[in-house]
Amino acid sequence: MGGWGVRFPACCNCGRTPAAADLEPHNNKPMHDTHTPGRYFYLGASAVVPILPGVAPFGLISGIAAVESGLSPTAAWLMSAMIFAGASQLAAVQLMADNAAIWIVLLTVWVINLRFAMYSASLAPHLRHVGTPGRLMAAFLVTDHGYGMSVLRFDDGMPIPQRLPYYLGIGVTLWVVWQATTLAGALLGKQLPPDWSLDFAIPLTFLALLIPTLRGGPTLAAGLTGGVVAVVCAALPYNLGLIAGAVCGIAAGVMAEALSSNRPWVSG
Amino acid sequence: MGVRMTSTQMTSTMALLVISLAAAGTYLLRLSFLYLMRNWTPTATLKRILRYIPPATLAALVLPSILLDQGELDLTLENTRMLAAACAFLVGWKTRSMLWVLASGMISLWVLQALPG
Repeated sequence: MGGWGVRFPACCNCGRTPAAADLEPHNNKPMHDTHTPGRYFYLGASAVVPILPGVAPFGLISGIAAVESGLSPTAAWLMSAMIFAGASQLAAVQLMADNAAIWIVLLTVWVINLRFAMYSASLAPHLRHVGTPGRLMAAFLVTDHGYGMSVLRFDDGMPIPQRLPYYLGIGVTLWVVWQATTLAGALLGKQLPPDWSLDFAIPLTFLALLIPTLRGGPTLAAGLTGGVVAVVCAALPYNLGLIAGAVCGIAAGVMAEALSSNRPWVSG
Repeated sequence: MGVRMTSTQMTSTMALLVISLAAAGTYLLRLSFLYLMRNWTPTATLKRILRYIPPATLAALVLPSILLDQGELDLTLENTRMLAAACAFLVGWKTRSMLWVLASGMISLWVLQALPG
């Protein structure tokens, strides 16, 4: 299976796609010589291309919002380079513009980014062979999109040696694009017309990541519960509605799986 | 802490301090299980829990942003973002393509916004 929206180029030696060629030993060799880490880095980087139309406006908006809140373009860009998490950056600059206390800004950013600890826990078993430098890099590049895209491929049984380069290919590309677009947004400022509704591309990128995770009854229960609880709890302060939705959605998924354990769900 | 910032008064040093602390905390959250607690093996129950993190979290990010307008729930046909997202969801479900989700969502939003009334 080619993966969600990703067409792997065929191997120049044998004509098979890397996904097919590497899952089964080929000529008694586990991998082709041409399928180097660099190649998987490249494949990760190219897997990002289809979601760039969603990531780029998110970066632009984060840059625009940051300068509108009074940050200098340099500070706006540093924020993107170091925090590298759009939703929390938008919340932070909004609070700064509202003259919030420093501890409120910090707490909000950390609470919104609590989900990265969940992503970290989810990625760790897939990257258990990776050494310290790789882990430090991989952790810095944890994002919604990077996590969502790589975990899909890892769950599909991507061979262990390919995982880190593939993940870094996605993560580094997203980081570079994020820096370029937030800087562009910070320099462009308010010149983009608001009636283009480019901010709508942000939920659309999350929707594009959500659809392939809905693979059967329990995952549908998790998604539906998570979404509805987040809507109901949206008025909670500090974006706690997002955390409440995530926790309730996970609980619903686990319970639905327990209820349907004798009926294996066909993947969607 | 009684320190308050305003968009006009906030010094760049203060802004950099807030950004650095926010970034440091965020990195610690990212490091949590990938590095700080790396020797800890997840149990079968935890693995089951981990499987539902992506659908639950992503849906919790998406649904409020399309169903709420200025914090108010809007399930009427006036909510063009909800209709455009529903359209994008159906297209994505059929095509399994990220690019089509984005294209169909944006185009249907622009069409809906251009419609009179």
